[in-house]
Amino acid sequence: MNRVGRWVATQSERPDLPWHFGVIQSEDMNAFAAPGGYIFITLGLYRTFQGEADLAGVLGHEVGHVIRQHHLKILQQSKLVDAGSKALSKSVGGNDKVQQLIGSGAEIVARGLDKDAEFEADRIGVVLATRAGYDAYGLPSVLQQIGHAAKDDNRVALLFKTHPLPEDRLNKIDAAMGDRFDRVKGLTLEKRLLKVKK
Amino acid sequence: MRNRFSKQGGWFKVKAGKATGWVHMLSVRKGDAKKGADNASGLLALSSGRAGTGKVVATTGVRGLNEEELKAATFNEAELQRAEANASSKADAATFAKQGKLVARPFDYLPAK
Repeated sequence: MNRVGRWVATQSERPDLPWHFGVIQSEDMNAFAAPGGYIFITLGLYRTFQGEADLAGVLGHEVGHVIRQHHLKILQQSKLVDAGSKALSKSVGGNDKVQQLIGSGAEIVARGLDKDAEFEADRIGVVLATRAGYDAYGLPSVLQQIGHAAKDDNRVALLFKTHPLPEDRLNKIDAAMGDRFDRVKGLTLEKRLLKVKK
Repeated sequence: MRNRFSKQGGWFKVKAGKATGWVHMLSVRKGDAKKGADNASGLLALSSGRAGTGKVVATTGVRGLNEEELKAATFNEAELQRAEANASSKADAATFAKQGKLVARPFDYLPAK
């Protein structure tokens, strides 16, 4: 995952960030990015991938959040910054500072970014995967897979709460892609994707 | 899609009786997932542009990440160190890409529609 992620991130305008990629042991379907280049995918989402191109597309989406600093925009707009600075001004110890930051990060994850940030990250994900030599339709394929999950499936509850619905995202990315990718060939690398057993 | 259709890039290979053809994946949209619907209804749904019906058996009782769990998150140094240790260098990533015959190419970002 780190090799694929780094290769995809290298195609962005921030190739030299200290990028880190990892898997969260949860059957939930979701993916997360944090400022500075930390990106995590849940095992449940990973299981929907049918090839390395799907992984690349999802990682490209998360790389998009990082390079466009979507989290920082939310932090600036919200009261989280106030809360954070007040806590720091109380000259708290190191661990408390870290815990404060984790609290803010978890709060953002729970609230979600704004819808336009998600649509923008989808467009970036498709392009970064394409630049990396992959098939462009990895991310749209994953969106379709997620869209198949029933709305009462707990595994997508947080994702559906914090992101536009897959149907809306597919419509937007379809419109944005148009016919630009019709003559663009890329690799799906289905056999190289590491399969994870239940 | 996995069992009933094969996929190549953005295209689904579909079969209806003896006929086969290709449908662009972004032309395929899902209907509401229903528990227990059979394959035939799924294929019917595809032909009407509403694919995916009946494919998924909803799994209730699987606990996902929820807000409370996220807000209760605590710092785990050991896990962070594991994440750091697994980082890949640009050179390492490029070698892996080459092994997979991936070739980087320019492509402009997409404008918002």
